[in-house]
Amino acid sequence: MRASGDALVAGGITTPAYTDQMIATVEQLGPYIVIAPGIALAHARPSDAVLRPGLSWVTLAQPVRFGHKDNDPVTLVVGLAAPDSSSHVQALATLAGLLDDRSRRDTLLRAKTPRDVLAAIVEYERTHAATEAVSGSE
Amino acid sequence: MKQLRVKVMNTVGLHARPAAVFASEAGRFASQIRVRNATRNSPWADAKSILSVLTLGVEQHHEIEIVIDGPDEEQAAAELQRLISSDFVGKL
Repeated sequence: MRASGDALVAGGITTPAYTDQMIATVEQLGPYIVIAPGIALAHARPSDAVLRPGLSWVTLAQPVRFGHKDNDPVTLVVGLAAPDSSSHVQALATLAGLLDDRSRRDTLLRAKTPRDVLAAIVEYERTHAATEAVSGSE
Repeated sequence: MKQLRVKVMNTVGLHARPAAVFASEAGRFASQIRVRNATRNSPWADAKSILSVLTLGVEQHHEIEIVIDGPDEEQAAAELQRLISSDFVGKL
């Protein structure tokens, strides 16, 4: 959790206060943030600690148990930050679309380098944009 | 088959935690349950999958449609209706 927050800070997306808010969220509300097998979504409510929308991607060398009955242990922590509620929901929808496809999720979980992760995301955005263009023209 | 349409009043919409609660409540029923964001005219998603529910991008004041088909559809419709229209009272 702290590593995903540090990455957000390093990327100029949040201030360190957001990391503390993410940790407080999981401590208060529990392991629901483990939204898919092996994947935790670190996030907190939109606040002044969010400088711009963004996400961080942290792969754990040692899987961590968050206490989720189905989706433990966690090997990937995605940190999500958005300045307001609407952009938060839409960022989450895009991220969920990325992870909802099982083969793409497996590719992302197996990715060994940032370049592999970026390649998979770029590929998703390319096909996703194409799909939206098709449905938009109907 | 039961069909219902409800407006989501939660301030953060069907975002991570409400989506998790919604999918987990839907998962208690044997019936097949599908949901879509009517406001966005989204495709249908599996109501029992958190990720699928999250892809709908449901914000506050969006309306969702739920279609339930199976042996416990009456009970599922009543409980999901109550969950959303009560704004997840006691569940968050």
